[in-house]
Amino acid sequence: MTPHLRRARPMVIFPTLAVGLLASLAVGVAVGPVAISPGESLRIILAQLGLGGVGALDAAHRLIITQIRLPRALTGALIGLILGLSGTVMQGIFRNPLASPYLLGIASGASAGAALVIVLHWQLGGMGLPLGAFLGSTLAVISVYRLGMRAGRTSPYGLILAGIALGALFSALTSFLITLSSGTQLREIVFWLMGGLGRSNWHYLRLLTPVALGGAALVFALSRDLNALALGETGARHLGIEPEQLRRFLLALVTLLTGAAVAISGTIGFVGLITPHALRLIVGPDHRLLLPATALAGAAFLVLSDTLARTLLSPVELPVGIITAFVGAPFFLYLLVSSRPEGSI
Amino acid sequence: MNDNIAIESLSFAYNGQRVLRDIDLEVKPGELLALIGPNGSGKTTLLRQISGALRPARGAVYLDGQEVARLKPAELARRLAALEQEQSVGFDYTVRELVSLGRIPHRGRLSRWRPEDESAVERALKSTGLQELARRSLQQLSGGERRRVFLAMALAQEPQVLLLDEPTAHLDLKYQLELLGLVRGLVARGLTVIAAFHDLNLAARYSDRVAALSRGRLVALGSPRDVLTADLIESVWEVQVQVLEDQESFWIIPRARYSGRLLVSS
Repeated sequence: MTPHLRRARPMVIFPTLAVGLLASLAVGVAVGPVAISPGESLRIILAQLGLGGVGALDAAHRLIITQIRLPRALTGALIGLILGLSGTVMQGIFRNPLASPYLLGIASGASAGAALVIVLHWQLGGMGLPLGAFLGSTLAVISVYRLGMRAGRTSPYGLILAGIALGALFSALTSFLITLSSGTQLREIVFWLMGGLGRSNWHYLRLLTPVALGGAALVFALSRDLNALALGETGARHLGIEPEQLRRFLLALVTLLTGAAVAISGTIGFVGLITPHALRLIVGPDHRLLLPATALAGAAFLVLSDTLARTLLSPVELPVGIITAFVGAPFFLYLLVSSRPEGSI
Repeated sequence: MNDNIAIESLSFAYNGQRVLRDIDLEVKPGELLALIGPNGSGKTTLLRQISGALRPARGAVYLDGQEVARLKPAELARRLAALEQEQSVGFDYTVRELVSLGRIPHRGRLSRWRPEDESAVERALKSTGLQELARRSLQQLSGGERRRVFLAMALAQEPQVLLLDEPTAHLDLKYQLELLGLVRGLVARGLTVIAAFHDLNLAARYSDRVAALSRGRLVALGSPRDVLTADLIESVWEVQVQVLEDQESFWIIPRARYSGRLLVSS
């Protein structure tokens, strides 16, 4: 056992993560059932940005890159960023490395909302499913929040218990809707539950981008406050941070961010649990470093997982949640068994 | 600055039960005041009133003439630091990372780490003798070392007033003396310290004045020798003691004996 805790230097880790994210985006755009060389992909993207001519480029390839792979890779990056950040914030709020963005019922609420929309055929011009999921997740978190309050304050214990109870209730609703659904609906619901980026398009991406980047900026601005929260309620107050206000604001922010993400992709597991955990081992628990690191790593992880999901059994596309779980669960177990002699939990 | 804690007719109730009644107390700059009293006498509650973690039901606490309850949290944290009896930490921090948290009240949300933050952390590590351990994980340290880490964090806040809740609880004899020697050195350099003690001998030896609490009331205040008499201890703790003294110091020795089931005073 080394006497010192090792920490990666920011000057090393951030360039590495940034290059990793760019590389994963390049792979995500270049790899797929239709072989398009990285060079051609780059020329297509440059042409789309008005840099370089369109003439020599294959029209079908252009369509695949600009309308399918590029928006999908970018959506994956933003959702990975959201899940990584939200997981870090939730673990910080609850001072527990087992917390995930879905702890307070966001996933089960979104699932019930999505299942309802599918069973009732609400199209709403293509916005039915994301709207149903988003409203379901917000409704779930607001209920958990109301029920989890103790004497006018947010009690982590009360919130977690209310989250478990309401999560079970919403899951039962989803199961009930599944039994009511037809064969095609059933397939649609199950695929939604497993999570995937197949519904990505430029329209959703335009809606998601300001939410993800604006939310990320707000979360970064609160990294100092999250650090104080590691000392608990009274410890934070002794450092001049009001824990109650901070928790409320952060919970609202996580709900908005994760709600927007699952509205598009369904519930993708493990990204929000694993990314903060792994990066904490590398950069340490200081949120000023941890938050940007998990944002970059979560983005790269989801883009790569999605590329695997699309290509592994091509032309059959796996739900990306299967890949993240296959990679994430063993990794999590490895961390659990190997890293901490005393355990930080 | 003539920083001074003044507590004026402070009362506090918790769940309808009065925990503190009409406390009046002033603490001078550069003095170490020991709060003593049996379990449940209100020591921790009084410390939390002074630190602003709890608000008084009646009366007020003043820090250098300003009411603590009206100070902005960050402003208060720049001038007053407080250590809980048991401080837990989420996640695996190094000593230096934890001590750096003490700079939070001095820094804006987006401000960069400045040379003065670095030097405050260095000074805190140095005065607590933690420089060698700076890159260690808190989880690898002994109880006494951990206590020193949290003290260093409070020192990195560069406070004028420091509140300690049983700073020597669960520490072995050597660490008790080491920690209190350290605190005494800080007081010599002008820090005002209010500390709750269970061990009356330690309170007597290390404090300038002693304040005795009983059932939420302040029952005695003065020099250790004046306050810690056999009569007062018997009336407050319901334990008979013998006080041995010489020119330099004095010792409080309980006259308890084991009588089958319970420890009772003879």
